[in-house]
This record gives sequence, structure tokens and C-alpha cells, in this order.
Amino acid sequence: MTVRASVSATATAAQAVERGGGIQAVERFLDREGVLGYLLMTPALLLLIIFIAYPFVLGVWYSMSDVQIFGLGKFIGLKNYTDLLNSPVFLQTVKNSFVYTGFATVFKLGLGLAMALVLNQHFPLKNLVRSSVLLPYIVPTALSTLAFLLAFNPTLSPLPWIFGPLHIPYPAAGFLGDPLLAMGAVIFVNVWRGTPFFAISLLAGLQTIPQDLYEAAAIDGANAPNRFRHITVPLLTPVLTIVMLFSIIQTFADFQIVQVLTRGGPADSTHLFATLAYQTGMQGGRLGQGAAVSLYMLPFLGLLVIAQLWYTRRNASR
Amino acid sequence: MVAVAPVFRPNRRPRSYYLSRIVSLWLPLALFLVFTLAPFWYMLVISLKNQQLEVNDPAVFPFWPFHPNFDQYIDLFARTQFPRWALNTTIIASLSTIVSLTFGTLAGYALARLRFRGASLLGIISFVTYLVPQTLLFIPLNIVITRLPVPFFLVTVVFSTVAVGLPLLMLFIPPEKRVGWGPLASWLPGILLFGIGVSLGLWGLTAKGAALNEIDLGGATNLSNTMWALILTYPTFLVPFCTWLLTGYFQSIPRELEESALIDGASRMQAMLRIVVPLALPGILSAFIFAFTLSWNEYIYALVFLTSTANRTIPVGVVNELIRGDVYFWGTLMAGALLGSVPVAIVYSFFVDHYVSGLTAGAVKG
Repeated sequence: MTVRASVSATATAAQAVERGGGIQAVERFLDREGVLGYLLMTPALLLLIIFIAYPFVLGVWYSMSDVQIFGLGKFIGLKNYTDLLNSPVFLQTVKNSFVYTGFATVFKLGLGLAMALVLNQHFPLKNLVRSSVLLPYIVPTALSTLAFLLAFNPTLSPLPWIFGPLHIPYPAAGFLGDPLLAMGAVIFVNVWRGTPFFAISLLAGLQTIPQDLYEAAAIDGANAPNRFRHITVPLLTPVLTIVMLFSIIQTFADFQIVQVLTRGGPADSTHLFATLAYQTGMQGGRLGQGAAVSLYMLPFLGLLVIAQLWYTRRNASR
Repeated sequence: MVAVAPVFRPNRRPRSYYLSRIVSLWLPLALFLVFTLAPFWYMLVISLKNQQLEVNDPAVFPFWPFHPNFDQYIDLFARTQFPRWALNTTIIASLSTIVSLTFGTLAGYALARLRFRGASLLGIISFVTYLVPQTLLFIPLNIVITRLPVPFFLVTVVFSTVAVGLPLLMLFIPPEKRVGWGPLASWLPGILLFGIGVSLGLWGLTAKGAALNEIDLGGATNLSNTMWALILTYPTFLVPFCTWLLTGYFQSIPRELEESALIDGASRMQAMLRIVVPLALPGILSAFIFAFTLSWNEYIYALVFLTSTANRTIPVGVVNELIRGDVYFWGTLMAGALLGSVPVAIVYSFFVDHYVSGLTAGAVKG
């Protein structure tokens, strides 16, 4: 290291002498790791300061003021936050968000794992199938949700054609007219969109498990369920945890599916933090309170992010 | 290793093999394929159907177009602003992707290779901001966009382009032709513009400070309802992702390759642009596909920051402008939804492997 450094230092020094001039000195200064590092980080950092850090501070400030689209806002302390705690709509939203996230995650995890195990086998057109199942995750969610908007419609839905032969009655008000069914519907669409992400990530995880482990276990007499329990599950857990934490963050802060399907209705039964924040802050014009609704997500999101960070770093260091 | 003895394979497999294959593979595979792809088939069918005779009549079998026609697609182009939205989305997605890739490449290289104070903290920051969902900050971000003056942003954009673009241009100038200037020449305009940008921004803050509470929604003095609002804010979630992905990728490239160039007298920037970046192209491609699809698909910022019909992006335009009142034109809606999904599907189909490796990079590498 020292030899190399001194060699390159001699080389640059020789060149500097050869060309002369102060520009060389500046050039060498800019080329130092301590300087160049910050220079290369500057564009990204500037962007994050202007459009993440500054809005964040602004958001905290606005959430403590009664600012509206027009007119002057004044400081009102934590009133927005305490008002929300007394608002039935907000309490409903908190409950909805956890129900939505909980159910969607469990289904995505279960179905995703099953899908990964199915896709991990050998069959004709394997690659084509593997890449096409990811489509729900690739295309714009707001657009694909439109198919479900029609599918859950009271009169035009195609579902009676499937439900009829199975003797399941199709709800007269459609799936989006009833509070419980509407929650089920938005969870279903989220599961439809998110399952392929779980499946493909877990499939990648499955493929990192060395095949000879299974062969050795089979020779030792372990049957398929035991091989799954004692080889697949423990070796897949790190991937599973990271994928799940990432998915919980995205699901908890979800907006598009609910906004397109129900806009929080019927009777606020499907409002999530993001849709309520949009309705309060943008459509209702109460910017301060809307910002407060969004920021109420922060404690839970913060915990998840810290968990994700801790887990990723722990895995990386092992 | 001992050679494995050849396994005796009977010519005909037992019946139980085929049975278990159906139960463990074909049946679930078929179910999963129907589950994931049926909505797309349904959209296609609805978009091709005759609206009066078929879509609006629940008695007609819904999953097949009996009178296929392209009227809905023609309507979409002739009677709605869909072509305009497609153009907007293309411009916004392309520019924000380019900005994010260049910023992300520079930052990723710095984090992967250079030792400087706070590097690991900056790495954590980029990871954390990558996880911050857009829905957390859209309200205050909208205030930033509607209340900060345009010059500040424009200069920031110009600065970034110059500061990032000129070193890239150096790729095409042979080293012997720029003796004596080197990296300085490329950085100087950038640094100057950066200074101008920051001072103009500060000036804008103070000058506008008094009028901070009077939002000028119609005027052109701020970014509200311009494409710049999205081109500048999409990188807030794209740059952290690109940085984080490319840091990992750069780290996997052996140091020795650029160190020999450094010994030969190349500057860090030259070594990076000529040796490391070309080797990292697969990683950069993953980042590109990801950034492009994410910005093409983005919904909430586009919904909030762009307010006029003509300025919409495809997802917001189709959902919010084609659904008006009580009469739903389902065929046109589905045609728009499908056409809006096609570009990302095409990009994805060309680079499936790169997309998947970007998607799973975090989970699998850890």
C-alpha cells in the first residue's frame, strides 16, 4: 500500500513538475479521496436535502399549524395531532391500515412462498412463465386496478359468471358497496399485485440453497417435509425477513389501490393513512392536518426501517 | 470427489410420478397463472368488445370478445388527451431516469471506493431514504413545489447536468489533448453554477419569504403543474435506490483493475469512467430499468403536483380524466390502461434478468 502510494505520488509529482502550474495542484487536490468523495456525493445529497430533508422539516412545522391552501397559518402546537386522536375517521383509518397490512402480508407471504416452490421446479417454458408472473408487479398499479374496479362493479361484474356455477351469491351492491367486502377487495388486489414480488424474490433465495444439501439429507433418510423444514426454511429466513419488511413498509403506506377502488369508502371503511391524508390535505385543503395524518405513519415506519437496516447489516457482516 | 454411480432409470415412469407431478406442479402452476394473468386478459377483452352490445349487458359472457373492434383505441387517440399524456410520461420518465442514474453512479462509486469522513453514514442515509414511501412527504413536498421560485430549480438542474455531464464528456477526449486541465476543467463550470444556484435559491427563499403564504397556483413563478415538478422529485426515491444498488455492484468489481490505471497516472474520474463504469454496465442497466418503470408507474406525486388535464401522466390521466361522472366508458378505460402498461412491459421483457437481479439484489445479497 505504502509502496504503491509513494510510486503514484512520485509519478504525479513528476508530471506536475513536467507540466508546472497551479492547476495541477488543484487537480491533485480534487483527486484526493476525501475531496472527490464529497464532490461525487454532492448532486445526490443536494437533491435529498431540497426534496426530502427540507420537506420533512416543513411537514413537521405545518403539522403544528392551521395552514390551509389559502391564508396564513399560525402555530397551534400539537392540536392537529390531538384532534385526530379524537376523530372517529382517523381511528378507523389506523385500524384499517393495520388490518390491510396484516392480512395482505400474510396472504402474500403464503401464496408467494407456494408460488416460489412451484416455479422452482423444472418444466417447459420455465423462463417465460417465471417472467410473466411478475407482470402484476411491473405494470402501473393504478391502471391494473381499473380491471378490478370493473370486476367488483354491482351490475357489470363478470364475477357472477364464476360465482354462479359454484352457488355463491354475488353481493347486490358489488364488492365495493359493503364495508367488510370492500376491505376484502382492496386486500385482494394488493395480494394480487404483491404476491409475484414475494415469489420471485423467494425463488432467487431458493436458488442460492446448494442442491447437495438436499441430496445429503435425502441419503440420510429425511423425507420431503423434513427437508423443507430443516433446510429450506432456515436458509430462506434471511431473504424472507428482508422481503417481508420491505413489503410491510410499502403496504402500510399504500395509496393507489384504495384511491382507485374506493377512495376510502364506503363509510371510511377502507381509508388508509395516505388516502386520508390526501383527502384532508389536498381535497379538503387542510394542509396542516393532512401533514399530521401522514406523519402519524412515522413511528411504525421508523421501527420497520430500523429493523430492516439492522437486519440487512447484520446479514452483510456475517 | 468420487464419481457418482450411474442411476438406473426405467424407461417408463410409474403412474404415481405423473400424479404427483400434476398435484405438485401443473395444477398449482395453472392456478397461479390464471390468478396473475386473468386481469390482463379481461382488460384486453373489454377493450376489444362492442360497448353497447356486450360490455353494458351482464347477460353476455364476459371473457371473450364476440364482436372485436378497435373503436375504443381509436377513441382514446382521437377524443382524449391520451397521446399528450403518453408524451408527458415518456419525457418525465426518461429525464428523471437519466438524472437518477448519473447521480446514483457518482454517489455509488464514492460510497463503494473512496474513503472519506461520514461515508458509512451517507450509505445508511441512502438506504433509509430508499425505504421512505412517497406518501409520507407528498403534502410538504407540494408546498415546496408551489412556493419555491423557478430559477432556483432551473439552476439546480443546469448545475447538475453540467457538473455531471462534463466529466462524462471527458470520456470522448483523449487524455493527451487536455493536458493541464483534466478534471478541473470539467468541474469548474459545475462548481460555479452550483454557487450561483445556491445563492439564487437563498435569494428566492428570502424574497419569497414574505409571500410564503400566498400560493400562486396559476403563475409560472413556481414549479407547480410543470413537468419539472416530477422530473426533480422522482429522483428523490430513484437516486437512493440507484446509489444503493450500484454501491453493491461497484464493490463486486476488483479494485486491482483501476489501481493499475491510477498508477499509470490516470485520475480517479478517468479510472472510474473508463474502467469501472463499463464493467458495471449490467448493474447500471438494472438500475435503469427499475428507475424507468418506477417513474412511469408513479401515481401520487403525479396526481398532486400536476393539476391540468393536458399535463397529466398516463396513470393519472387514464384514472382521473377518463372516469368522469356516472357514465363509465369501460372500453376506452381498459384500452388506456393496457396501452399505458405496454411500454413498461416491453422494457421489462427485453431485460427480465436485469430487472429480477435488481429486484432481488437487496434480499439475496443481504
